[in-house]
Amino acid sequence: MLFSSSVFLFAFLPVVLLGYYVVMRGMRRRQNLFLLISSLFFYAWGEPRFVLVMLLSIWMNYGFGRWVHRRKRQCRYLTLPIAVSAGCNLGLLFVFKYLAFTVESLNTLGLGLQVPVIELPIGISFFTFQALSYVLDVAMDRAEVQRSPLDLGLYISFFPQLIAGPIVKYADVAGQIAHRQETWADFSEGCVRFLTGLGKKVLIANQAAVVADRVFAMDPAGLSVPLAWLGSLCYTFQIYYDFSGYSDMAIGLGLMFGFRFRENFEHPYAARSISEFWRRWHISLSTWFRDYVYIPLGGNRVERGKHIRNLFLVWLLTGIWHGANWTFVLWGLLYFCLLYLEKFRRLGKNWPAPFQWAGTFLAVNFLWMLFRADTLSYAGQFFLAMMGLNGSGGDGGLSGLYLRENAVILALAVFFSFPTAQALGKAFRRLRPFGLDLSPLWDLLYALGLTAVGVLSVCWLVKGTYNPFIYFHF
Amino acid sequence: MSARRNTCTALLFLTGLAAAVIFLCLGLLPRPAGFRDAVKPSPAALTAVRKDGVRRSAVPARPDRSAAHAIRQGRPLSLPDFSGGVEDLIGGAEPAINDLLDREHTFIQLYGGAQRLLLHRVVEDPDPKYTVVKLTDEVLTFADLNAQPRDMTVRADELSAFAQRVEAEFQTPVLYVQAPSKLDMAPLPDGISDYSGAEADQVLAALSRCGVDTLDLRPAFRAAAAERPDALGELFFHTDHHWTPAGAFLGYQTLCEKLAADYGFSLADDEMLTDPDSFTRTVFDGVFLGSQGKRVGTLYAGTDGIEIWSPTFSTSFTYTVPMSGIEREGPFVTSLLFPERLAQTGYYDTNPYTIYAGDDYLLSRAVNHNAPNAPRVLILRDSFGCALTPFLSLVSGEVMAVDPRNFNGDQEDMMEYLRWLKPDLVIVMNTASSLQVDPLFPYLPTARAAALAVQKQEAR
Repeated sequence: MLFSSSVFLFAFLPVVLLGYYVVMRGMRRRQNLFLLISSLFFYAWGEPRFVLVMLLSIWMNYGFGRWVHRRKRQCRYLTLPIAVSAGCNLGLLFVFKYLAFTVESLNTLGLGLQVPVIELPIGISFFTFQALSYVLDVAMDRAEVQRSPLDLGLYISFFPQLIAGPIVKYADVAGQIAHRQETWADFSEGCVRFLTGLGKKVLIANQAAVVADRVFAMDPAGLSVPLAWLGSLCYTFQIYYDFSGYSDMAIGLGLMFGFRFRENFEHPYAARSISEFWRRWHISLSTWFRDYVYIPLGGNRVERGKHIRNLFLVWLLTGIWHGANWTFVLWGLLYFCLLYLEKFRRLGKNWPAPFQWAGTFLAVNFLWMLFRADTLSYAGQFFLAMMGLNGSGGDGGLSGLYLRENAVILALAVFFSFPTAQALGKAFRRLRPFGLDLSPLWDLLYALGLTAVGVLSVCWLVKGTYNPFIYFHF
Repeated sequence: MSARRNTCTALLFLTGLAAAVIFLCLGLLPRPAGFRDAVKPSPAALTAVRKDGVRRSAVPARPDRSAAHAIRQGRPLSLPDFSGGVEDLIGGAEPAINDLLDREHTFIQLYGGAQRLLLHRVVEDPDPKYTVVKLTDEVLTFADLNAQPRDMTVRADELSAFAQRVEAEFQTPVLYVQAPSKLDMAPLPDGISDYSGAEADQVLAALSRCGVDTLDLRPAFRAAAAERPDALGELFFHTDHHWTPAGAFLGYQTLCEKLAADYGFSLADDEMLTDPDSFTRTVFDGVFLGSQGKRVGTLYAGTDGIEIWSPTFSTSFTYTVPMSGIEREGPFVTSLLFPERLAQTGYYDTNPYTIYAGDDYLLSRAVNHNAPNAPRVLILRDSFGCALTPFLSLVSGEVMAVDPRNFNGDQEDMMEYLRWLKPDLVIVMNTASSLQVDPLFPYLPTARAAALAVQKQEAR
């Protein structure tokens, strides 16, 4: 089930809110059980049989957690349970996500193996990493072992962050599962975040997706320079507003039920270096790799060679996590190269700020193009088209049409990519013409504006406009 | 401060959510007809048309199976058939909820309004074929953004073979008439391609090569557009893909010249039959939201009016639709036209274009009692024929109109039909975009096979 669907908005969410706050008010255990069942139903709505994979993951990791806990009490090494846990979780992920890709890749060596056809359970990368986080947090003494399999099930399968993150680390929410406090302040903030995310997803990301998907469906050999750039920029905005919109909705829904998740995006396109970009983009994934891979390997507190190795491994894994395709591998490795140049060759350090920003944005845009391409050769041809080296002429006015039709949406996309809106909002609130406090008026206008965003989003959904789901690879 | 802001937003959000849920639940219950059903066009306006008196009208409106119509009629809404299991339930729930939510078409209206505010000239549709594009002068059209040129050789060859067979077996001439479209009068915005005009040219050229007589109505419309900037809005509805009665009349005039010149229609003595000044026109403003307008709402598209053309000279017809049990007698306006359709309200559930000829029936027959010896014409037509055939009836002894989309048979069955109806002339008339529509050509082997294949696929 998608958040940006009428079934979720007008059937699932009202029922869950009513059940949680009216029927089971004040009964934490029942509320948690209700949320678990609702989450499994939410997951099953897309593809019912994959609930079994989810249940297997919950059951497995509950056992691993207990095993780690037992060995800790016995003061024994944890290497074995952690290795088995990582092996099983990553093995599950490998079978569903990477097996076919691996066989296909091996076949290029002439092995002639039969490529298995395996459907990918939605969000498997997200919930597998969450499950692993539980076992690792217990092992690292960041959290207590979870004695209730139902509560662990709720952590792994909680519907707000189930299919598109953010990847919630167990230590961050362990206490909230049993002892959270729902407040009106959190609930109302959650509504604001949810509406903001819905608007980002439906009104901006989906509109940018129309252009991006159409351009990326074309033969890159025939793409004009403006069309190739427009397509790649639209994808750059699509993936940001789609992903951050989903994260906003997830954080908002969490708040509605008393959970507080960490932020996942902080205006990444305002970054002036690749390092800064990754401190602002998909923060939950970056911190997951930092906490469970980079730092355990020694992080940057090791000799230079090992530091580079650690970076390489993290970015290789980051690329592979995003999808089973060589494009994702190369995408991750190119980020490694850029970070290497920034950290060890001081690339861009002395550039003027606008050049730093432009260089970062261009690099990110090129790499999103690679990320979006189906094959490396397609990406290569698309790159040539962007550079005007594919020998293509005009596009019959197509780029002009797309630009004209999406000018307002693209302008909004650019505007909201920077923290300008918040800064302007604060400036307006400070205005006191004739000594009058206009903040109640601003508050009302803000509420009405956000409600209008919600209503418009519903209009778009009811009309059945383009509503792609871009996390199938993840 | 932000707490107050959040509280306001949350209250509005929860109110909206609750309202939507209540609205959805109410949609599942039967309820009495809404206030909109009480709103009728001005009685004076209706009497102006009905003053000739409707002798007989057994004319049910086209059955509308939409949820919205069911609710407005006070009948319980039937939920989608989920007997297919969980997958059907999952697949059907979203459209079912959307239909229920938008049963008053409020969301489509708001959607269109927002598109207007966003300065969109192109409004994408879930079905790319029905993307709505605003032409230069606020007139809408459909455009397929994924359109690719098609080779019409097979269609043209089979159409030629059919025409030759009809002429050989019945000694009945066949005339192919190419109806115009809005795109003949105004170009699409840069970046959007349409190949239907070129495809029509290909068919016309191939038919001519095979000796099949053709008439291209498009030059007359192009000339009108060149003469008058507002011709497009006069000859085509703003919100619908069809021509207006004025457009149909221009097509009729052009056709009459051909019929008089080549097919022995005696029009020389009756110039009034093709003179627009021999008709009074009663205009009903704002009663029509056409096929294109329905996809974007009135806030984006506006609305259309429709003209009732009424001859000032004496006319007498019997109009029958055998399969629908319709039989109407009387003058032009009350037999061939269905002015009572104006009493139906609701932009989304009515189609005032069908005031002309009633609808796209399998077979309708209009017998002209004032010209019993004039040639009898069988016309195989798309929906553009609705507005044309009443006018064509003025110069024919009988016009038998067949909508091939409702014809459940192949070429042999169509030949049987012709054998039974014995026309003096067969006209095949389509607009350019219809040439690609297989169900319009069940009497051509390839088109029939393709249409059947699609039918089977949909049934599965």
